[in-house]
Amino acid sequence: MNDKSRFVTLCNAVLEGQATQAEVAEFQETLRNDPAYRQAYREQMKIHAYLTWQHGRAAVDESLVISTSQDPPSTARTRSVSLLGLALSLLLIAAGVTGWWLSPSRGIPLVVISATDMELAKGSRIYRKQIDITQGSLKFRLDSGAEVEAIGPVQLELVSDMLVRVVQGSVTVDVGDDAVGFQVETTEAQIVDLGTRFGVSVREAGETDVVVFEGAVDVHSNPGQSKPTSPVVNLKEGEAIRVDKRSGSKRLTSVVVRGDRDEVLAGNKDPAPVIINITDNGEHKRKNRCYSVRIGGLGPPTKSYVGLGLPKWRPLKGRHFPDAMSGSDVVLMYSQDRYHPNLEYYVELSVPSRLFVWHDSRLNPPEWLTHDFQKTEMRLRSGPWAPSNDIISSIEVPEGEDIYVEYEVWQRDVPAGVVTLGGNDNRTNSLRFAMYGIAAKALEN
Amino acid sequence: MESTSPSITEAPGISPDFAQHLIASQSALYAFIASLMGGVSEANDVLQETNLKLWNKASEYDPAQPFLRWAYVFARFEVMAWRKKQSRSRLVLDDELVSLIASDWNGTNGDSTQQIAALEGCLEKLPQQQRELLDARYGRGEAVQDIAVRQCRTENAMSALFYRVRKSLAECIELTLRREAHE
Repeated sequence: MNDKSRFVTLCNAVLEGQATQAEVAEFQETLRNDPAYRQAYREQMKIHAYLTWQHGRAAVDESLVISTSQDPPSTARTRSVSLLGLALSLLLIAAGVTGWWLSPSRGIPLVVISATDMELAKGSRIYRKQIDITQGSLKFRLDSGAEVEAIGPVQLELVSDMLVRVVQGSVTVDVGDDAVGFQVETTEAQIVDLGTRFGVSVREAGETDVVVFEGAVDVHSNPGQSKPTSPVVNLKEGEAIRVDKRSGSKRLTSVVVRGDRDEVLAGNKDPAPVIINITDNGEHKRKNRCYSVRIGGLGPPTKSYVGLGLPKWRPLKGRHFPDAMSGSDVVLMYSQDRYHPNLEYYVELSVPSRLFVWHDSRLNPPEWLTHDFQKTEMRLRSGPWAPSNDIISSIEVPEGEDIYVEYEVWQRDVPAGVVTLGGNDNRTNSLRFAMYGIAAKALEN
Repeated sequence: MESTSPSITEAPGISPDFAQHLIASQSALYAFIASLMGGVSEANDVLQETNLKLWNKASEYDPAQPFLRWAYVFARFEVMAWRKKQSRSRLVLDDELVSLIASDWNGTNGDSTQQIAALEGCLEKLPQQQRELLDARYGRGEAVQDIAVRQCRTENAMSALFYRVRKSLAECIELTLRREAHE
């Protein structure tokens, strides 16, 4: 390893707060002996600090700026501190940066991660009791560490940094490790996080939809209790239910999301999804299985299968992603469906569409595919796959290279309505082949 | 946005210009403090103490002097005070290096509001994949190690990539501010 490369390693270890004592000593020696490395360190730390600041991870805490202590160190200090807070807040407000110094009694503190409202600067710390967005979106971090993304139209109340009440619309919550136990409440349900990322939607008729993208949640049916009652259901990744006090809870077969981070879009009519529902005829071990439809989301790289973090839909090596497919609504598939030849999928389309199915090139296409669809010249691949996965056990690549599965793309133009698709394959060893993919794009007139 | 109504003129001896300087310097002070501390984890606390000192010393500030250079003196003093409370084994830099690095900061090119604005512009110019990496690391606070696993790369390769991205951002900010200064 050369000096430059070693410096990069040491500098990163220092920036991440993970340098050992021996590394710190080596780092100090390097900086002492070479002004160029000192300059490089200063530059790296500056950008590291700016990025930390700019992403709202270093917002100044108003409680330190404004003494709220019962027993302040001195009157003079308290007064100075209050005036400092006041001046900072007024100037920030004048500058269009909101709320550094608003009393905690006026709401729950949050840090803006992103907002379509230009008045809410990224990284600014504001106080809110409620959030009401008719259009656009707001993503924020509460002091508990939970991150909430609200996409209008949505109404929610911030009760504490561990409890959000959704009145109407959809929120997606990323709880992380620090806020396990975070709760989302609606009139129909209380959702207690168990370390996860999940979405909650309150529909106009009042039912509550809960979908889990990572980890698990407990869903309780009696919101407003100081201690939650026994859960109605425990939901894991890829599962969802609709809670309705009048008719009970039932499986929610699909949910429309956007972006790489699965922001729930229920109730939002802009953009309108092409695939509005997908369900199947299977009896699954996980009875609350839910398909995620990523609106306009097909493009490199898009996650391919539920629960598999590595494989993504990609173009063939050295090729562009097929233009005709880019921007289609795409379904996040279940890899285990690959060996259930009798499974049928029912895809509901809102408008006349071009429906794409891409099928493992190593397999003979099933009859329903050759009969109803036209084969195209387009190809996709998924990957990289973990070397231990059965699906790629027959694929040989030079040592050290990533392994991908190739797919032939088929297409079919269909009117609005429900289209039935068949199983992946009926061979006995179909465990060793990949499940197909589904996407749809609206036909232009 | 709700706000209280008292006027800023209620703060005796403090000019709106001074408060404006202080606000505009927050992220630059934060970066300066972090570089002397060898990390960002406690830089917020030291920045708060620095803000208090600067506020109390406002009457001593000569508006003819660059604000940041004046403020860095107090920030460095607060870093030294923080260092005294730490055990030696927790310190990333020794006294000599703190002194060398502090003297390397001859004020920054433009105030930190301009720097952050330039950074925003430079982030826009990054390839989508690099923006997503920064969002994962700095937005969602994910560990480099976890990002590396997700991207099927080694931790060293991912760290080196972050290093390169930060370097290119630093160069882009410098270039942007230099261009703006000549316009």
